[in-house]
Parts: sequence; C-alpha cells; structure tokens
Amino acid sequence: MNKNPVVELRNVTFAYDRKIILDEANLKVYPSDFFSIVGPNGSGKSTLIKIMLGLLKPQKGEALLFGQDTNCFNQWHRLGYLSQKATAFNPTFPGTVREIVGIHAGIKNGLTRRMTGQDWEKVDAAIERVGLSHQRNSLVGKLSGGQQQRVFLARILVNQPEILLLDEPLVGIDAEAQESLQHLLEDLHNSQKLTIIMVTHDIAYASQTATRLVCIHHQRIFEHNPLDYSKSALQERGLTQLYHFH
Amino acid sequence: MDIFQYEFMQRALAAGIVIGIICPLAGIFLVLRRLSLLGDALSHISLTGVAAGLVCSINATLSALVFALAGSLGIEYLRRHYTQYAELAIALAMSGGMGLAVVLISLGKGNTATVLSFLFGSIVAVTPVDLYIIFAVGLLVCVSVMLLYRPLFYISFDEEGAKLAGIPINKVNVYFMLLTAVTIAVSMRIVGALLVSSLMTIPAAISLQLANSFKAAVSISVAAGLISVIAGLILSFYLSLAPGGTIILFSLLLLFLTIGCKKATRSFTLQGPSAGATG
Repeated sequence: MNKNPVVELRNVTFAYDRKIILDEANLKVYPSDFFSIVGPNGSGKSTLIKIMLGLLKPQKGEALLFGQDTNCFNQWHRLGYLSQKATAFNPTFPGTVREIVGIHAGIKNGLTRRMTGQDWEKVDAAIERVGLSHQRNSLVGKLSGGQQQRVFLARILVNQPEILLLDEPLVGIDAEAQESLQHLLEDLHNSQKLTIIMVTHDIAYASQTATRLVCIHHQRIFEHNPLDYSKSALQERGLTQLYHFH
Repeated sequence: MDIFQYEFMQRALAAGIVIGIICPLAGIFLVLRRLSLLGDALSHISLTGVAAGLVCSINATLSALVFALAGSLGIEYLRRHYTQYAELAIALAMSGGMGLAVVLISLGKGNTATVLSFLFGSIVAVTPVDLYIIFAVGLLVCVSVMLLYRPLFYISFDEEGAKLAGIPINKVNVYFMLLTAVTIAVSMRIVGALLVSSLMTIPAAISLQLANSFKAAVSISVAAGLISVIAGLILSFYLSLAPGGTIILFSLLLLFLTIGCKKATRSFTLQGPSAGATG
C-alpha cells in the first residue's frame, strides 16, 4: 500500500499497574479505512483508542497520528473523538444543541476567538447532517440517548475532521436509533471518504460495514477479514455465543 | 433617597454592584463543574489572609487576595494529586485555612471588630482603596470570562472533549481558580467570609431552574446576583441588619419563589387552565 498511515502503533506495550493490556502491539490505519475494533469485555478496546489519541501513554513503543508522535501532536482539529461516556454528561446542564456543537466550531483558530456568522453556518450544517435541525434549540439533556449521540457526532463533524474515533457509539441507545446512526456512519464513510475507527460489540455491523477488522485477545491485536466475522462464518466456528449473536 | 446621602453607602452600593456581577459569573462555572464548595474553602483561606494582614498591619483586602491566590494554587495542586477524590482537596484547604485563621486572629489582639466585619460583612467597611481594588478585580474577572467563555463552557460540559479539542485545560483551570480566588477575596468585604460562597451558588441555582440555554444561565445568574446584592444592601440599611446575611436571605427568597413559580406553572400546564373549575 503506498498511502501513509494516519494512525500507527509501533510495538506498543501498555499496562494498568501490573496488568498488561497490550503487549508489543502493532497497527496501521490508512486513509478511508472503516476500521472496527472488536474483542471481549475488558480486552482493552477503549484503552487502544485512548492510546491512539494520546490520552493514555504507553510504557513502551510509540503511537503516531499523521506520522507525528502523539506527545507532540497538536492538530487535534483533524480528529473527532466520540467517547464511550459521551452521553454520561450532567443531564441538567443548560446547553442547547446549537451551543454544544458551537463550542467546538473553529476552535482551532483560537480559544478566545468570538464565533462568526460562518462558524454558525457550519454549526447548523453539522446539526442538519445528523438530522437534528428541528431540535437545535432544545436542551441536550432533554433529548433521547440516540439524539444525544447525534449531537456529539455533530460536534465532532463541525470542524470537518479527517478521522472519526468512536468508542462504542451504539451502546445505550434503542434499536431504531442504532440503525439510524449506523446508516449515518456508513454514509459519512462512503460519501466523504472519512477514516472511521470504531470500537464495537456489534460484530454483525462490524463485519458488514468495516473494510478492516481487528480483534484484541490476550494482549494481542489480530487482524481478520471482516467476512470471517459474518454470522454464518461464526456459526460455522461455533462462536456465536462469544459475540452475543442470537 | 436617604441612602445615597452617605458616602459609605455609595461605596457599598458601587462595590455591591461589582460583586453582584462577578460572584455569580464565577459561580455558574463552579456549580456546573460540581465545585460549589470551592468558594467556601477559598473564603476560609481569605479569612486567614485578613488575620495575617491585621497581624502585619497591611491592607486586609490585599493580604486576603494574596492568601486566596496561594490557596487556590494549593487546592488545584491537591485536586490533581487526588483526581478521584477532588472534594478532599477542598476539605483540606477549608480546615487548614480556618485553623490558621483562628491562630492568627488570636495573635492580632484587639482587632476582633475588623475580623468580624470580614467574617459577616459590613457596609461601612468598604474604604476608597477597597473600592479601587474591587473595580480592578471586577474588570479583570469580566474581561477574562468574556475572553475564555468558550474554553470555560467546553471544560464545564466535557473536560476530556475539551482536552482533545486542543484546549490547555490545566492552564485554563489554574487561571479560573485564580479568578475565583480574587473574586472571593474582594467580595468578603460586603458579604462576609462565611456567606460569600452562597452568592456564587444561589444565583446559579436560580438560573438552573429557569435557563433554556447556557447563555441564558449565565445572564440569569448575574441578574439574580445583582438583584440580591442591591436589594439586600438597601434592606440592611433601612432595617439595620447585617448586609451579608440580608443579601443571602434575599437570594434564597428569590430561589424559593423561582422553584414555587416553576412548580405552579408546571401543574397549571399539566392540568390546563380549566382544571379545578366546578362549572
């Protein structure tokens, strides 16, 4: 492959106290990849995404973003991160959808900069992109879990990032909201060629949508063909229970 | 009005207006970050500064400022040390500040009246020098919050997201802590060390009942603070009451009225205007 990786881990070892989570892990994510990370609970999926972002520092090895070590990386506007705990915010926080998306708009141009008309246009476009225009003046805490996830997605989309890093974005929302969010992510990947890195438990969705799929198991990262994780393939291998297929 | 004939009252009202703006302005961010008790800890430390100022014969407001600034840095250091028990830093600062204040007060014999005026607030205590300091601090706090509005809003809502947006959260947190410290140190003159944190939290509590946006929350909070301080000062003058206590009681009255009106409006909306009618 002649493209340069946008995210790279080189011989990364990470441990919480003495418990090793990743051991000499290597990984490369290329532009336009839809990169799914699966694995059992506690295997280190969220840890992996936090190492990629530089939120956790590995004890050994290095994590690179756009070829730059995360320790000196400063082009954060090129990334959009949706945390697993995004919707665990204070539900009584008095912020409207427009305000919450607006705090992120154009922040790369200066922390003390006032919002311009152009910034607000981008905010409204991002809110429209996630289908929440009719709720833009509602308080975020009053929305459903699925709608809140869309607000946080709009917030990271407002600065037109090149990579989306999503930590279990489908958890805690109803089936309808899950499906609608899945379609939105697919559309973002297909139409804008966004690189998407997503931690998920939904192996069926990952196998259908991801262009690349890795599984973390016993401190190692294994890459698989997404099709090997389709329901029929897992049934063949008697692994449906492990991945909660019904 | 009689009240404006007195120079001390003019100074108290001028200072009160500034305090009525800056206390809720800092307070709304503290409340949203669940750091309401920080105001209490810093006011106890500021009281230590007052006592130290009296012992060393220097301007008590200035020494309170210095102690509050040092105390805020200490609390921020402890907060980072005990990330999972951030409230522990506040408890440690509160008890340490009060202990030192009591010892220093006992050393500064004969100045009990001055200490009491800082403890409970006093209208006559605001000197022209204090007024200049209060105006300077007021300007600093207002300009800082205006400039750092977006980072402060972002950190209050989502600290991790703010960090990934490239906001230097540690620097912003330290600066905001320093702003809170100076706000408390100068507000003690009128409201009193024991009550100053209430002027930061009660207006914020009122705004949380009414606000339908973050901008509205900040505006309502400042409006509630201003109304409470002005009404409290006027009432305390005519009724010969302690200003700090009157201001806080008035703001509490506003809070209960807000909660009551909100409840009444909600039940009226739920039942409809004709509910309860017999015919």
